[in-house]
Amino acid sequence: MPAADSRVRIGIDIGGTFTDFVLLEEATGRIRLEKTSTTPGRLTVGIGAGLDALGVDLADARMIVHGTTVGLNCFLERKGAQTGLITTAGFRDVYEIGRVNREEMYDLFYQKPEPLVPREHRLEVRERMTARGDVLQQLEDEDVRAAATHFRQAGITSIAVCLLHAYANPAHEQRVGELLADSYPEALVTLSHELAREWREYERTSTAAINAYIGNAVEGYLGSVEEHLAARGHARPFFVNQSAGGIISVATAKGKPVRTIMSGPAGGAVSAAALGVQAGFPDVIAFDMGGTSTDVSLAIAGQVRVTAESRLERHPVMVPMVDIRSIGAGGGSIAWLDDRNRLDVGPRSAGAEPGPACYGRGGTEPAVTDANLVLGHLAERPLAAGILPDRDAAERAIHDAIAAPLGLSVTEAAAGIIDIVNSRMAYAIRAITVQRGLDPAGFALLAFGGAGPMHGCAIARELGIPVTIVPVAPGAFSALGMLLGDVRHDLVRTRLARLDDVDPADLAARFAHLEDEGAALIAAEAPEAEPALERAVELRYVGQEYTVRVPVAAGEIRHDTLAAVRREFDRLHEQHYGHASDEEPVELINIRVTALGKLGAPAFESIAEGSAEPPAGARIGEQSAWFGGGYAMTTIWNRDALLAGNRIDGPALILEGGATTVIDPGFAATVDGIGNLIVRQERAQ
Amino acid sequence: MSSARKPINPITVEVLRHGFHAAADEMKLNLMRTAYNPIIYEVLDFSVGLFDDNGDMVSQAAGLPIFLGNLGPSVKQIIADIGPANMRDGDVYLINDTYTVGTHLNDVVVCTPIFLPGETLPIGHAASRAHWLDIGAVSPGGWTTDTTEIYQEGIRLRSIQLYKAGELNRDVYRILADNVRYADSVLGDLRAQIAASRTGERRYVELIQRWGLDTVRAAIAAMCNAEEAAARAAVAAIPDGVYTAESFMDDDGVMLGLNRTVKVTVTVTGDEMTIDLDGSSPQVAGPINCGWAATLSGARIAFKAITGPLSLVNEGSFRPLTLKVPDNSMFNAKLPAPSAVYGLVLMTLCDTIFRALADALPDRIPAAHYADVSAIFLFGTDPGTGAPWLHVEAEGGGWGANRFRDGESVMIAIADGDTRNVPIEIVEAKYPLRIDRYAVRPDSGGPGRYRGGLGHFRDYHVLADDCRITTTQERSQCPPWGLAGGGPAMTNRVVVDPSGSTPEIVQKCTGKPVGRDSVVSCQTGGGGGYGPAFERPADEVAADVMRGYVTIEGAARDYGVVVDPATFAVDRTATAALRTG
Repeated sequence: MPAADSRVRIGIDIGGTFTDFVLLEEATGRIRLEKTSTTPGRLTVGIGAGLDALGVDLADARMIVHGTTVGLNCFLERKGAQTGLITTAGFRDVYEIGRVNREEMYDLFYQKPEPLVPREHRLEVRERMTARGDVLQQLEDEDVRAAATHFRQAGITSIAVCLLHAYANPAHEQRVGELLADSYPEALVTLSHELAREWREYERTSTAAINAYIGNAVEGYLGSVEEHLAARGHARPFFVNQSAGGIISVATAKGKPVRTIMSGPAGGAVSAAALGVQAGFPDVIAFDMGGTSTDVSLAIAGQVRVTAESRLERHPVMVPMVDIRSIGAGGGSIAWLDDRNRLDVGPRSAGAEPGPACYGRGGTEPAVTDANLVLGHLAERPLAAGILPDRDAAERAIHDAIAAPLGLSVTEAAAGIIDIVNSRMAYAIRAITVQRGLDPAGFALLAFGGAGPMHGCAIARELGIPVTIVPVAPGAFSALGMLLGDVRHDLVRTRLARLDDVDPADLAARFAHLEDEGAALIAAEAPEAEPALERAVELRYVGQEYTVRVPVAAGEIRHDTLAAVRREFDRLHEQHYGHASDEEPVELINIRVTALGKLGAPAFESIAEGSAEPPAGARIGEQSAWFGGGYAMTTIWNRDALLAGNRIDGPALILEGGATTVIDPGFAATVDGIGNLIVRQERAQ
Repeated sequence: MSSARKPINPITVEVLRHGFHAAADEMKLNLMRTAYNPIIYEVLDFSVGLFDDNGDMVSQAAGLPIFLGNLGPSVKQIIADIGPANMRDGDVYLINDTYTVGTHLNDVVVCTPIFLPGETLPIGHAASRAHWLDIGAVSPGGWTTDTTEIYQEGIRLRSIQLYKAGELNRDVYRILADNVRYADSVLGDLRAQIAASRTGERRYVELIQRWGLDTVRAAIAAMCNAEEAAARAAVAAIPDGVYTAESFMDDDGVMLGLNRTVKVTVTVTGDEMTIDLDGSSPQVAGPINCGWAATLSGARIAFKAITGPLSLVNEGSFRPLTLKVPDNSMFNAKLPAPSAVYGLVLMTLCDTIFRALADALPDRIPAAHYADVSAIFLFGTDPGTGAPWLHVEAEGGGWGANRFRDGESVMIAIADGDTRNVPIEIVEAKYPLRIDRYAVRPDSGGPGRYRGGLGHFRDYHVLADDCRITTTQERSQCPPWGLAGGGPAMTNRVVVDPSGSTPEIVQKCTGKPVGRDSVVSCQTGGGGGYGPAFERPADEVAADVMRGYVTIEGAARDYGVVVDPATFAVDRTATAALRTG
């Protein structure tokens, strides 16, 4: 048995190009990082190589958390299982019909999202529930058995089941599950109510179908990782990062793979929330700008903001996910002119090969990185990959593709590329703040990912955000988040009633039921975790459709509890939508419990103290850089040499392995006790 | 930088374009999140936008195409009626007047002028148009099929001031509250429209404060000029010529048995296009008349779909288009013409414009679609609560096949865009209705080398004693046509009690009583086929039969393909005999 202080947590984040490993020593908060190439097809090989490089004894690993893109890629590449669908008789086409809308409304060639299950494998069973959950027609068992026979003969290996009103009464779906387990035990079965207990049959069907479609791939993959880790001596179950933030056991992830579909990006959001709390900024905007895309999300009071429904390539997914806005633009994105000479950036990316023009590896199209180099926002020093950036190549690319056709100078064109990127980022952040009634000025901006620290100041200024935080090792920050999450389950029941008519005892009993269910899940998955249960209700004015989620305090529920909930609802409605009416009746729609197994966030390691003046040797040079209207001499610093308390005035570049932080003129950075750069605007530029 | 003489920086234009787009999206989200009726929050029967001080469109959120072209005329009408000098910050104006803004009375525009702090003249306007569940017509929900005067169709509002400098006019509010049905929820939707306007105002002012009014105006002009140039280039690519097509509506709802002509002449000269509706039916007795501004919207939808469906929409997009409508026309409704179902002719108008240009643009024009939103209204008294209820749906149908592939099935008609059905689970929870079936309608797609998309069956099972229905199911006599030798599709209809002893086919009705346990089956039409059906590979026909999109009989009758009902194998010999016979 290893000593308690030698316990470690390991995070493994598999991305498209690289696999990141983060090892965290619980006692000291010390972090070690490794990076290996992702090995498509044999992902466990890359995992093995990384663990070898870390040189860690897995017997010491208290917890291994994995972020996976297997489910997402399986869906995006349409490489999922042969999938079947069982529906209520009369409704197999709900999945094909969808919502009948045309998002491109002038497009005479518009195509709806193609169902993952073709019509011949969508089978109907006789049964019917009412909206109140009463049985109108009993399930005909023989229909299910006949479906099983069809699926087996057709080579269907995964079956989704979505029956009408299963959110209100899942008995028939459960019975279908039993019958399938009996007559076709090899098949993977997804029951819609186990993923979503909310109404809207098309959205629930789509969710179940995606889960079934990616099920075999995710189950097989996680099984192989499990075996690999066990062979290396890791005797405990491992965890998977889920889309809603927080982690779930590998067993849950295998059964509900749709919950892992945003596994990777969710890690960054959780990291940001945890680091924000430690750095004294509980409200943060996570700004994760990588090579090909950028993800922005929010944490409020240290809690990651989660949304109940999202979409993947227009396919609805009705499971909670971190409320992430993705923008198809990052450091490697290509700038281009459309057929009318309008400048745009992305979504096409130069990727790692050939890379931006300045890499000198054959890229000739201008990338965002090229624009940053031309403007002096990147030091003309060797990059992480050991490449000396080629400024001439970057200028040539921008001149040929952008500056010459628009009649601009190369500097103006480069500044334009950066302005376009920054304004798109700013609007995405606006969409998750202002559009939800939140003022970005009340948040800190946490800038990470390979390119985030270069753009943080400009975006903060655009949105009036007072503080920007750049964490240590911003490139590996998402992987770190996997080690900070709690075990998490979101439980929901639809319960339609006027708030005035709700019996406090009845509501308390319903909460208690969900809480018992949640506590049991936590106890089974993470017995050593400290359980925590959070309650909420979803309310709306009678007649409205969309709801507002209102937290319900722990403890006894009385009439005055409900009155307080009502007041809070009016306040939130006013905050989100600009109007409220305390005279209008309010109704209850959903009851929610979030069950958390808290694993205790370890403290990050402190760094050595210094004074405001950085130590000699930290300053490694200077260069000219362009900032909104003119060039300015800009100092260059080595981040690894900085001490807590050091202050650096902009304009400055702060370099570390794999990332550059740009401090604009008028901004100043100070180093906090755990090495974060805290950047503030001190005067208008 | 001395920007006075330099043209506006193209990057600033793009930044502002994203900014206005985000502002309109935020208005849309705000309206749908706080609305009270599914016709707004599920069906999305509304449109929002920002306009400059002249009422020219700056930005609109995706929504209903039919509302896009004529939200601007509504704003312009209010500006003309009130006068900018008489407007104050905090004013709210309402307009739904068919004869100036084109639509039926249920579509109410809420418009608010936008002011910079301390300024006395508005710098722009925020507006939304939303379908009100009721506007006080002779029958619940309006959408009457047999009215003969607009006075039967509800309250007419023209530039009515609901708020004066932030102060509610209680008299106007009282008139609305006392004269529309379901007033609580309708006025809830009105509040949501006002909130959406306020959101738009804030964002507009922020953008102007950030960039300056001159820069914003220059950017708007640049955006419009860019769209105009693109549209002109697209028109110039169409061979010059005079193109005509003709189709017809079943009837006007009052003079039954009399078809109503839709005639289109499209003239392309260089980079300009004129659409002339001369030869179409004069103003009619029944409510299919359409106001001029809505006709313009219909023509603009067709123009945009032809010239640049995926690019931005702004005033510049339509500068190369001229619309000519005779003074006496069902496309130019004049007082007191009824117009409750004004949208019906526009879907047919669009398809007829496409048909005129089909030979000139074979790669861009599909066969005809089902051409009606096949709207159905069910209403009565809830037996459980005793409260009045009204359920409205716009139904999807089949779209035409094109030169490259089959048509799409069960999709909303051309005049509506981001319009959605209401989930069955919500219908059944809110109304005394049960849905017995929601399925594609086999054989409804027009046969062709590429098959037209299918319509649907949506069967409402009535659980209330006093239920009545209002519906329009047009174009039963002029079915969606095929192109290049493709066949026509099955047509729209409602069948009451389809499996009862006396099924009744309904094309149009207003407030028709249906008893408890009646089944009201909405059966929408398909899209036309493209190319000769006998050229469709037999294996593709057999796959359609296996999937149930085409019946065994349909395969033989329409495609000359004989398919084994058990194995779905093609009988090659029998097929060859049919196809050469």
